[in-house]
Amino acid sequence: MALRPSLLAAAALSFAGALATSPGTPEPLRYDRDVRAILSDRCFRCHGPDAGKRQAELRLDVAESATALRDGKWAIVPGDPEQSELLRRVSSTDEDVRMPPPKSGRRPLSDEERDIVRRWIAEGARYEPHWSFVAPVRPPVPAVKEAAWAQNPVDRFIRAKLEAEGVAPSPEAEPETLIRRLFLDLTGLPPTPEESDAFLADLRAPDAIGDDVWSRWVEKLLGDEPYRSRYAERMATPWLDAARYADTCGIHMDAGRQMWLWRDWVLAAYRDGMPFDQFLTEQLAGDLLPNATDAQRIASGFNRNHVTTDEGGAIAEEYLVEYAVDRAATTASVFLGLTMGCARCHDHKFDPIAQEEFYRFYSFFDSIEEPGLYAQSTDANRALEPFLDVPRPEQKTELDALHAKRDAEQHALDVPEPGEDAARESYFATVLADGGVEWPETKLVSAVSTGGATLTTQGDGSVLVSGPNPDQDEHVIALHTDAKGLRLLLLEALQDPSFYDGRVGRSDNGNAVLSSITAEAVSTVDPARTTPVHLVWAWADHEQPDGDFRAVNALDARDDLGWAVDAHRVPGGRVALFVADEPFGFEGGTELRVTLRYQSPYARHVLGRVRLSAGRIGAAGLERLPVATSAWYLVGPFPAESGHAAFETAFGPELPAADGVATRIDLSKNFGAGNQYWHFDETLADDKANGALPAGVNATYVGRRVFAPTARRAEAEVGTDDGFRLFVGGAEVAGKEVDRSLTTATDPVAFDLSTGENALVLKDANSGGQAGFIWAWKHRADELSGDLVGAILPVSARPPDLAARIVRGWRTAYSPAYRLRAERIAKLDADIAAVEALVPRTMVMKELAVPRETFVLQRGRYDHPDKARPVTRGVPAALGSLPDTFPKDRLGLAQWMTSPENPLVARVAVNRLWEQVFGTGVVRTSEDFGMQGEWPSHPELLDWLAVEFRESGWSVKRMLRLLVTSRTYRQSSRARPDVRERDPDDRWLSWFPRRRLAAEQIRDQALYTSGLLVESLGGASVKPYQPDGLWNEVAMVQSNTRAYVRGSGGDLWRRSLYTYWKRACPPPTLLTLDAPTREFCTIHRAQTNTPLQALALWNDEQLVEASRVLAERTLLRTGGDGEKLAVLFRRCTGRTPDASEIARLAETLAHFRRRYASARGDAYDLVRTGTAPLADGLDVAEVAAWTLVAGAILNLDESLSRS
Amino acid sequence: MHPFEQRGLDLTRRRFFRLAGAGFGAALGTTALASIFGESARADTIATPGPHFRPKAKRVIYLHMEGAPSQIDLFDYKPGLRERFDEDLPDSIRQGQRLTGMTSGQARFPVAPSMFKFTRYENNQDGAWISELMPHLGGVAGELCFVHSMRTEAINHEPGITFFQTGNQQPGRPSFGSWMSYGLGSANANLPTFVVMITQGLGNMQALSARFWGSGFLPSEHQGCKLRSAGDPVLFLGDPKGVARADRREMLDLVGEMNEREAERTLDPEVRARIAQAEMAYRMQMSVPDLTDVSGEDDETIDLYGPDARKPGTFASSCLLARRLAERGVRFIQLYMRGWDQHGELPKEIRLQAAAVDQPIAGLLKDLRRRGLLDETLVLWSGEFGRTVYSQGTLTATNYGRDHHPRCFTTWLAGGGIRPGTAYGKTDDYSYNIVENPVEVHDLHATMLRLLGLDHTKLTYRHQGRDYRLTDVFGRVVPELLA
Repeated sequence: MALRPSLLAAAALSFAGALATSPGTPEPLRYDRDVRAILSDRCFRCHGPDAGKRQAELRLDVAESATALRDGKWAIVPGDPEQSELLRRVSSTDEDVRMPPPKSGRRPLSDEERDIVRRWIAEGARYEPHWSFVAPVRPPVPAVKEAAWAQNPVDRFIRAKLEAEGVAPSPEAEPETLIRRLFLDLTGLPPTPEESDAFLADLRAPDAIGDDVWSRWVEKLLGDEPYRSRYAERMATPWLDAARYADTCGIHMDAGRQMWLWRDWVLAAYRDGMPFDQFLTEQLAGDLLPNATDAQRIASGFNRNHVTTDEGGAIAEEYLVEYAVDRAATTASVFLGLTMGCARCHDHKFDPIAQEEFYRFYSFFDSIEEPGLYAQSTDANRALEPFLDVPRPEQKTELDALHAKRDAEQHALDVPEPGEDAARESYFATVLADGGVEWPETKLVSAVSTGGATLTTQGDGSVLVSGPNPDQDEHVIALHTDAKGLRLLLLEALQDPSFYDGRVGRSDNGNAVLSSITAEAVSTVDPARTTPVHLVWAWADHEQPDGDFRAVNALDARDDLGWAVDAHRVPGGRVALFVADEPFGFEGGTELRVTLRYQSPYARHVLGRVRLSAGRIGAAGLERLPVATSAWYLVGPFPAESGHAAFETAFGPELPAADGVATRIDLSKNFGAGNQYWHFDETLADDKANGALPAGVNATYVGRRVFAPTARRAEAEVGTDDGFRLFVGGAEVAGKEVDRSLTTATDPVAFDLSTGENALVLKDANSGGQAGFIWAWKHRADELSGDLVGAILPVSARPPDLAARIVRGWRTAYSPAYRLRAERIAKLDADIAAVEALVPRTMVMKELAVPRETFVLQRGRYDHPDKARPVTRGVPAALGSLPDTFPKDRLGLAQWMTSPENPLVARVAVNRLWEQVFGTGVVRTSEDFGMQGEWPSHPELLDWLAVEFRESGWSVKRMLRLLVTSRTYRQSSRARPDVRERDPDDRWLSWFPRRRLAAEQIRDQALYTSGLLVESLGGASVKPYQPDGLWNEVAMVQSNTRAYVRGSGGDLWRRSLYTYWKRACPPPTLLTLDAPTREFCTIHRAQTNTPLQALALWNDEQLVEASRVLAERTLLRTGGDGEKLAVLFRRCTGRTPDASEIARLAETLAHFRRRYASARGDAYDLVRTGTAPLADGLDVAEVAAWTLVAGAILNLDESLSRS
Repeated sequence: MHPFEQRGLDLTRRRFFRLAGAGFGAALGTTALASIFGESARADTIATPGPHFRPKAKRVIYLHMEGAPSQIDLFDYKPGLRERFDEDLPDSIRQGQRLTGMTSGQARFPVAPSMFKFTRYENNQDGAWISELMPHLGGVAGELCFVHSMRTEAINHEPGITFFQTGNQQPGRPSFGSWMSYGLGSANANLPTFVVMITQGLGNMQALSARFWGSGFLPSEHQGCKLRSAGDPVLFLGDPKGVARADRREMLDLVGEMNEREAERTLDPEVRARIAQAEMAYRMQMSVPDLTDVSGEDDETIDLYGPDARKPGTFASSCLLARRLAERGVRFIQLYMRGWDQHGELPKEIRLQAAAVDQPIAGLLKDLRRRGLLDETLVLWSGEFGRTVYSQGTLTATNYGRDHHPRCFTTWLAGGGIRPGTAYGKTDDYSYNIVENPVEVHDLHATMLRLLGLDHTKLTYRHQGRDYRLTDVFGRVVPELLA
């Protein structure tokens, strides 16, 4: 080869650093490239950036410290190795002197390493800043001898290095290989034989220019459908790894959650060629953009993809820290290529990131409106708060219309009918008079706290609590009354400015939980005469809905249940009414001693200002009071052999409680192995179809406590799927063995209730499929149901919202026109809810109104904040700083990342693209650009690409185009033993790196070549074939991702990136083929080679099915065996087989033909794998034989690899 | 020899792992490399970072009691508590330590002594006190080395198990078995190096996660392989219906030949590695059914483990399989028994759980002993933490529950270089705090690695610029546990 001296000289000039110059004059060493890795690995742990671990005050990572005089010595004397203590210490054989010390576990320096240090000191010990922390500047494109070879600047950088090493590039690969390579790299799917032929025809066209044809195909794949969507699907997969995207929470229940809208956002971004700076900004801070669109807010879900916990005992603060750490570490890994998480517990050992700087970065991410511990929910489609509803256009239209109708109805409803007000007043007067309701005067006597709080009586008759607020307390309040025949006790919880936000409770959030209320009447005349006042019925104007927090829970002495007033969510006063089973009040006056207990698990949840009064109610009034109930509880399912057995068998919950008290529902009793306790289920309610009881052949019990103010006969209507048996107080009162679905409440039931507490248990016996029930009380005509109970309260005791609700209650009961409208509104609300339940939703970022204060956490522990070290948001100083003009939030962070001054973001991003195309990044450690990261194989190339990327508008497609149109890319992948001796890892790219396909590509290719693949961009995740029982083995019994319910139809054959990803049990074949678990950010996948992979590829049902359908597809072609085998082979490998290969394939085919012709039963078994219908008109033995041949071809290394 | 194979031999250990770790195109798994080297090279230290010392144990059988069994009702004998029934746990003992969200709101912390009787069994020290729940285990007390002073940092199951398996509470690190597979390589060409079996429990079951036997950032060939009791024992082991073993051979011959041509065409060493892996898969299709077929076990053996030993999926059957795996040289055999999370109704539930594991475990130890395998097999029994002395929920003489307790609990080890018939560490009178010789999870790991011939500070893997260890930056070998 003739050299052209002028070009060679130019190359030498521009490549002074990287080119090896002629022998004899070694190129000067560079600290950054040659020396730092040695010092970093062996010295920096104790003499580096970590101030906490630093020994002898010596830093070897900064020149000032390394060259300073200490104790009469210099660690480094530039230019004088002999005087340098460093060299003496690393060279010493004396174990007491030698560095690194033997006990450090670090290896001593090798001779070669020592020599490098010596030379570097001799050459002047010039320190350099770490290359990746200095913003890239576009270097000149090197000149090369073979300029004609270079298709674009990428080639010039690659060729210059090859020329310097005296290595020629490889020849261009065969066209068939090339087009398959391009298809797989850009779309993740191979070309069809027809597409390959089209490409070959283009090349053979009379006036074709190879490079132009190639470029046209590149354009086509990047820009035209269907390739463009496939390109998006191919590009998204590594991004989902990096963003730790999955469909479940990952911890404990590993419950399902909706995030696929975020995944679809990624797909759209790639398909539409979104510039990378926008891609970055919207994912980091889409929610903070001015007038953020739905799409931008969806994008912010990038930082909600981390695992979350719903483990009952978990400590919320701990997980809030873990979530923020994950966000900070993932953001740093993905965009900055830095392992910032290392600085969580201490200063970074190697990179200049102080612990404090980690927390400055972390504080961008720790002020999100999120709970640390998520509530468990049965809804597998839920999105964890904060989330965003994203109605589809048709849903939005429908919702708008429904809301408009509802608004109109509401407007009409708010206008009273003529004469209505008078009728209502007269009704209320009658209720009070006929009901015998009176509220005689009571006087507050005294109030004490047993827990040490200060109770002060107020002029308005209330008791104000102040002073200490013990975790648990008990208030005893005494009233005086002269009245007799009292039955009612009224509790008003008043607001006070001394409580949180002027609410009624003294806890930090203003809420309160009354665990019990008891009372005793004492005669004023003879204090020895006392009677306990048995309270048997309760009603309150507000009850917290997310647990069994109803007022009736205050009636018994149990402390684990109570009345929670929901004041942390709803402001305003509260009122509760209690009824005693007997009249109380002594002749001559009564002191009524009321004990309010606050002993629930909710510490300090005390009502802070209470007013009590006692009242009378007559028999007629009592009869008008409705029954009061606890919430519904559920226990089950209890599996049964048959629907009949489920109906017949008594599994336990229907029996009277063990203590013999038939009125109890025993919440502490376990009804069987597998944790069968009664538990609260917030989805269960009266008057609606509770249609999500456990499916299967089983019995499930729902139960509740019912409190009757008087002994009475109660009526209700029941509907169940399927049969039911109803037990009240342990006795069966109704039942029906029937097979039906849940529609309406069809079966009237009536039963007797005793005064006070009754246990009501409804057994739902299911014969298969979903189970469910409906319960509707039948109210008597004159019953004061719901809010109307408030009508018997003194007017002064009614909080404003209750007054309005009483009016509504009355109108509902007595104004037919109102009721009609209200029903219409209820129907509209139900319609709205039904549409909303189907509205896709996704988790998003949402800042707290007031950011959390962030402190350095000592040793990274959530419960050890160092209050002396508060931090403000910022970026590590070594990387620059946030300009003052940037907001100090994630948006400002994104602006900083995408600014030209940022040294890392563009480099890291283009490096990842390079890795995707060439298998290995220019920086091999694509996840670590820090000091422990590897020196780039082509530093100038990386910088050139980074600057090009940024300056060209951050176009990903443009960069990919640059890479795949290069000659470097088009080289043959045949390895070169001669070069391999010197460049074992092919870092110079003297041949194209061959690589096994990624897990998803292997499955996708099988589906695609067989014609099974169902292509459709985006949508909810799907559940293809998976062996039975995998989820069951690991999941909690209560988990909503315990049973894997395989999808049907097209769901079985979608591209693999749509496969539902359960983190605790990821799709097995993908996992075996090296897909990560998606529990944390993965920048690149290791590739392994195991026997389990072979087993999965042979025997996974979906791959066997694909082989069979591929066989059928082949058989349905015309032509002879040879022709068919050639097409089949080409479909999978992209290459036309030669005659000997066809002969070899035919030999095996013949063997299997013989085998299955004589064993048609086996043939039947094999071809029936999977659910895809069998092709008509084919012989099963023939299909079976071809299935095994197709399977073999799909299993060829050539099919599984991209050459 | 092919020039590439020659080059493969020239790979230094360090470079090899760099290749594997960086996921470089031609990444070679250890097994793949071993195949290139040929069978004889398998034991060669080229393929693995270890051993660093002469190993005492060749393998581990790790019995993980998922859900955390109560040390107070099994092994940490506190007769003095009988007197203190229903007394409040003194603040001097409780020391304000953090509690889970499940009992932190409890008004009282009443002491719940174990209702079970304890028996003293002879061992090599002053006897081992073991509860009536584990009578069979009492019979092998002379083999056991109790650690009464285990403690952990985690207070809930997920982080607790993750910590025990990977040395870190948060997901992302390789599990113990993966470290061992990486550190020591395989000792059986026909079976996975790290095998996991799960038994469904009889009580409150917590979740398991693939991460507990995952390989984290180690190459995925080191991840645990789940041996299942239903369906294929190893996922996808069985050929499809209608495909016979001879058919698979025929197909493999075709693929092998075609791949051989591909290897020559591309000069890519991965191709031959894949041929070798397929052959191993083919052998596994034989060796695994042979492993799980226990019909040849004699009655005397079955009697050791109890009648359930022939019932797939039971803990007894898993214990029997554990022995068969040990015989075949599998490095890390892990059994999960689910269902020890007894927050309520503990006496009833622990009886069922203990009955399911007691005889099988004792049987396993005896069987290993009589076959001469126990000395080279390190057995560990542990939960992820312990349980509280105070009752969660209602306390009566015969019923109570216990919450999670990370501050102290009991594990035991046996075989493989462990000092038999001993106890180490002490807890206070309430089994609430450690008063003597605390052992951290990292210490346990370091000690176990030591017995396997591995220095826990040297068994490292570089990931994201840092050398990671199973023991993070902690851990010390506890010499008192070593024989």
